[in-house]
Amino acid sequence: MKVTSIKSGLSALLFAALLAGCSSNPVVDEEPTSTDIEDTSVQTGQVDTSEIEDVAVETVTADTIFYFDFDKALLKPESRAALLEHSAMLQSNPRNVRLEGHADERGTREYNMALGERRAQAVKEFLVLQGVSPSLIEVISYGEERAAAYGSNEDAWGLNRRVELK
Amino acid sequence: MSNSLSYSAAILFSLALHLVLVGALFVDWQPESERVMVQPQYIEAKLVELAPKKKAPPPKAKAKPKKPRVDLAKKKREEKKRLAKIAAQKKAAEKKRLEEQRRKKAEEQLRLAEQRRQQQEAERLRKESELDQALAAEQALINARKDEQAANSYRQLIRQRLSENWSRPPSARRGMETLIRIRLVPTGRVVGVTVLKSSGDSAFDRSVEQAALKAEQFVELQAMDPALFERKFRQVDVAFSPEDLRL
Amino acid sequence: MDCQKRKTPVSQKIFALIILLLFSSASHSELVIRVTQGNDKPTKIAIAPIDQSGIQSGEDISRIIESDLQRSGLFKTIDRRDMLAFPGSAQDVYYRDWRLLGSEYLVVGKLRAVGGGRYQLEFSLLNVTAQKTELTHKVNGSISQMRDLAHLVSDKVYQEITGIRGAFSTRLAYVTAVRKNDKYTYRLSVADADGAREQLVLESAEPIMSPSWSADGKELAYVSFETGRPAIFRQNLVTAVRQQLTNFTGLNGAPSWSPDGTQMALVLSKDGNPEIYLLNLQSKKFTRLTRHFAIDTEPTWMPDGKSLLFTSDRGGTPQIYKLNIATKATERLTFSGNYNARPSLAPDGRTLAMVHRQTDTFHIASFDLKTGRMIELTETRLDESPTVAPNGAMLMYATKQGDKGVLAAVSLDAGVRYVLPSRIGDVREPAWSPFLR
Repeated sequence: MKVTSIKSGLSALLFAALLAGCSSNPVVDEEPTSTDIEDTSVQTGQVDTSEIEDVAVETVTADTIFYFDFDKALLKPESRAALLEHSAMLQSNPRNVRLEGHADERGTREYNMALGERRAQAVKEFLVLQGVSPSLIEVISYGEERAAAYGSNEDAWGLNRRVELK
Repeated sequence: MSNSLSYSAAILFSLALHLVLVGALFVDWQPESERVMVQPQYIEAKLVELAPKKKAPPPKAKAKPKKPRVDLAKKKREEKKRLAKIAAQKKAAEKKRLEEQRRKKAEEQLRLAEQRRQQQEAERLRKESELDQALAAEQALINARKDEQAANSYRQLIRQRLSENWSRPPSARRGMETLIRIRLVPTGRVVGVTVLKSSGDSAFDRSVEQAALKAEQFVELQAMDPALFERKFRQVDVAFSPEDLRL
Repeated sequence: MDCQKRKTPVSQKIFALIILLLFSSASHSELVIRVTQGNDKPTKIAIAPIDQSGIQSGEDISRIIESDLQRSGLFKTIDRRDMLAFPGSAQDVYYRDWRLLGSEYLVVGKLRAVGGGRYQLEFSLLNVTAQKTELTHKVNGSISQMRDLAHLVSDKVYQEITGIRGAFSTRLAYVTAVRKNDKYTYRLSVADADGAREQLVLESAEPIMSPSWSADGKELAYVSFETGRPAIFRQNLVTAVRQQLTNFTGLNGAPSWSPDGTQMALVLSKDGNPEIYLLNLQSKKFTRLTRHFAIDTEPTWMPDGKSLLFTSDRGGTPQIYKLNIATKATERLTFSGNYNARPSLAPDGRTLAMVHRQTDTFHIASFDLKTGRMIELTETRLDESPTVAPNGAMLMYATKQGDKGVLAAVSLDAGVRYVLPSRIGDVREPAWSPFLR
């Protein structure tokens, strides 16, 4: 039930964000638009976590970020281990999951969008293979647009080639 | 390539000339013998003059109406004497003639020798002049080459100066070519530029004209031999065809 | 002596002939001088301050022209302080004054009011080296169009000297991302090709990507994440009227307007993986063009509207392919390098700009569709989003200077390079407008 209320809250906020986005013209009207959208994403994250905690499933110690090699969408062994835990949890306590795929800055933007999606798809496929219902999982890619680490070096790039489970 | 051709041509020609000379040697006998013929006639004329002096008086003494009594013996003796005289005269004349002949022969031989010497001299001189001409031709060749070398070094200078001043437009491509004619004056100044053959691209053509105009003056040409300038540098044709472009 | 001469006239003649032959072969004009290399220095040009006869236009027209020509990389302008005079027309020009400055060309002009709030700029381009006028032209405009008049002068001067149409009256679309305390603000903007008169098109806290110009230069298509998911929009730059074109799950990306403006090529992954589709803008009908489990993305149109070029990794790594729209047949085009993506076609229809990686750095390369020749154009790293100017003279791309995203320009023969003046935040995804006049 709380899940559904969050869902409607989410959609209401999304709707507001949509309206705010449509209304932006060549006139600078910064504060309300950006703040709304940012609050949405931040709140989403916070709400999700608290919900999970309330359900008292303590095994959230498993990683929620999975990393990949350059131009690859293959799951690493450590990712599989963590995902097994998540799949178990999701089967016992189904909830909507959002998989956000990312890529490092190298290469072209649209291709990186596809790469991020491919990585998120790989994670979804694994979960589905373990028995998780596909309708629970939403896949979205941000390509290189939402970097986790800044800098043009191997370390930063490694941290950006990821899928985040939310 | 043209060098070896001209060499062999020169060799052929000198050979032919030598043949001509050898032939000339034989041909030249005839005019000499004509001269030889003239001389003896001259000598003989002298002899002829001696004889008539003696015979002349008798025709003058025309007092013939008197017929004096002639002593036969005296006449015979006189006749004998006369004949002997004549004989002696004849002998002397014969001796003289022989001597003359000998002298003539000797002279003749001298003359021949002289002729031969003259001929040899002539031949030697001819050969010398042939050699001179060959040398002159070779020298002319060397000079021509030197001229060409000098001209080439000036051409090189012109090329470099034009290249330094040639800024190609972005539409320039390898394979384009514009041919221009640059008119120069002895001070090296560019006084005219004409496009002889267009590349088909007006910006490219203009860049070529500009290069020539920007070069303005090739001061170094003032050191050139004026004759060489007139021959080769009053008008200079230049083809611009870029080989250093990426595209 | 005389005899000898008479005896050997023939041989002498022959010798003379030989000499003559040698001489004549030497002086024959087939010995043309050949210049095969040049010295491509920028052409020196002086822009005399336009005689504005007291008219307060708010713009220094000559400065705009100077900046345009300098930016093209092909010209070097003479410093105004060195000028001995400011002639307004050809008859006031003493060529010697300009020769002394080493200037090859000179632009002079006069601005006059012609009534009705209109102004006329009369200008001439003079060839100082050849001492003649190359062109004289008149343009009219209102007081707010002074920058446009200036760019038109630049266009005409550029075209006269280079033979190529000037692109100084074109515009640039680009995305900026400003980060503040881990929060980003994304802006889609349009500015003049020289960066002036920036106009905001869209602002969002969510990413904006892939701006694409319509063929008439009046609209932009782009990807916006404002709905929480990537979606494709079109927006009229004059009326600001927007329309969402796609709303599918998965990817909605890489919009590209057809040359005739009736269709949009785009990428959707709704059917399992990224494929290329055509959207008929009138009927709103989608047509699927690719059918392959690999990533197919970044479509761009060939000028005849019959084929698309796109990026695909169906061969293992991203490469450029050609797609025949009627037959759906695909053909691989690039074989050099281990990464080739984001094709952008030059107006000659033959030169392709792309992101190319040979070893481990991403550069912009130009690819000749006819010969298959690939030339690396840039020496910067992490280059992406090449966009070619409508006159094919220049291409702009996004790169990094340190940690900052900047826009840089390079000519298609790599002869001219420069980095654009930096803006606040990261600049990325430049898109060069078509000719707007």
